[in-house]
Amino acid sequence: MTAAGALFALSPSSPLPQPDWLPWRIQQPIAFNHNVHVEELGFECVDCHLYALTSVRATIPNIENCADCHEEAQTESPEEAKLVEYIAAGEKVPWRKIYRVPDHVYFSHRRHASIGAIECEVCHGPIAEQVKPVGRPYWRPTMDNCMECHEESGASNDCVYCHD
Amino acid sequence: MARWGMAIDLDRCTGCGNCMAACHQENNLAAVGPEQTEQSRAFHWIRLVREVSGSDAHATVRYTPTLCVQCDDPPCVKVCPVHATYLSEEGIVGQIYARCIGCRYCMAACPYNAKVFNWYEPEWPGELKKKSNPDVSLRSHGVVEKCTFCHHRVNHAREQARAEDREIRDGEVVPACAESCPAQAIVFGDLDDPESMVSARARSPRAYRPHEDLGTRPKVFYLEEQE
Repeated sequence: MTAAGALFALSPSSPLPQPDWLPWRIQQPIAFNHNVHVEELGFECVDCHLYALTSVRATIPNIENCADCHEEAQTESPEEAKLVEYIAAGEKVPWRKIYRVPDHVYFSHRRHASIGAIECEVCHGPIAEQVKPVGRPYWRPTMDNCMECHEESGASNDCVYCHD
Repeated sequence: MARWGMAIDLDRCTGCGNCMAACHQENNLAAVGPEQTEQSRAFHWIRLVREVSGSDAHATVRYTPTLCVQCDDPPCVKVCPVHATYLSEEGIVGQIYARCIGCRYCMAACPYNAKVFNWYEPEWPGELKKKSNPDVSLRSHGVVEKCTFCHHRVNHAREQARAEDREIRDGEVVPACAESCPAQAIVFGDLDDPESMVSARARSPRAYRPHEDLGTRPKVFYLEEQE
């Protein structure tokens, strides 16, 4: 197989297992609709992504949070039906992370989102407008990108601030 | 901007070893087990150096907790070919593991023998890996590691201080070794703050810095024992 052929074989429609990282789109188990929750129902990001303002790590909500509203189906959406099934079975939804910082990097959500007052959209993009899950990070947390923003905002680029 | 330093009162140190244990746990140092320890494969970021003087009947034992002294003019930084070790803004000699190539030039250059190298893939048996401190990275084998004055704790304190719109208070940053010391022999703080406990101890007539003659200007002060 040629190199181009190999790439084609790994296109998004391929049934091959997907990696945790780029270059192709990550598929989520449920086509979650951010737009309905944020724009129509008026939820804030931190209502579901707990601790994004108060802790080092933000969380991805799972059945224990979703069950507050979705123990019974609210709509006729087949995607919601999947969630109701997960909740009924007491099984966690296997969401896949698309943002990942390596182990040797210290990144604090609180430091950026709360103390630095950076809006979620700056790094996560216009996520509230999305009607289906995004498959790639809006903004890749690479060292180049981090340092560029630190330089612009006057934050320190001293190595030990982020690496320990 | 702070200039972090430490003062260790040797009069207070009882040689209990709590600092070593706390450092191990805090900084995710590899547990090598008793068999490997016998083969000298255990390593520590802080260790107790024991000196025995006098004859058998009247022997006196003196313990000195020894760690990276965070020089202001660090010889290790000068020899690092990849800029993995460097002097940070606040005077802590950083060791960036992801950048280290394991050449060990810095270990050879360090007059304090403060850096360690893990020759073997570290193991965290059983549940130990899950209990690791998430603020400190897990190092693989083949990189040089050293004491960072628990810099992640400095980061946390800085974050808290910024959230409350104030400066870091004296005594707010406590490294794991100082926190665990039952005799409060170890004091940590800003050497540039004349009011801080550490600078008061550093001004004591008992204070000395190890190998001052080398001109490395360490930021760890020892308070020698009184007669």
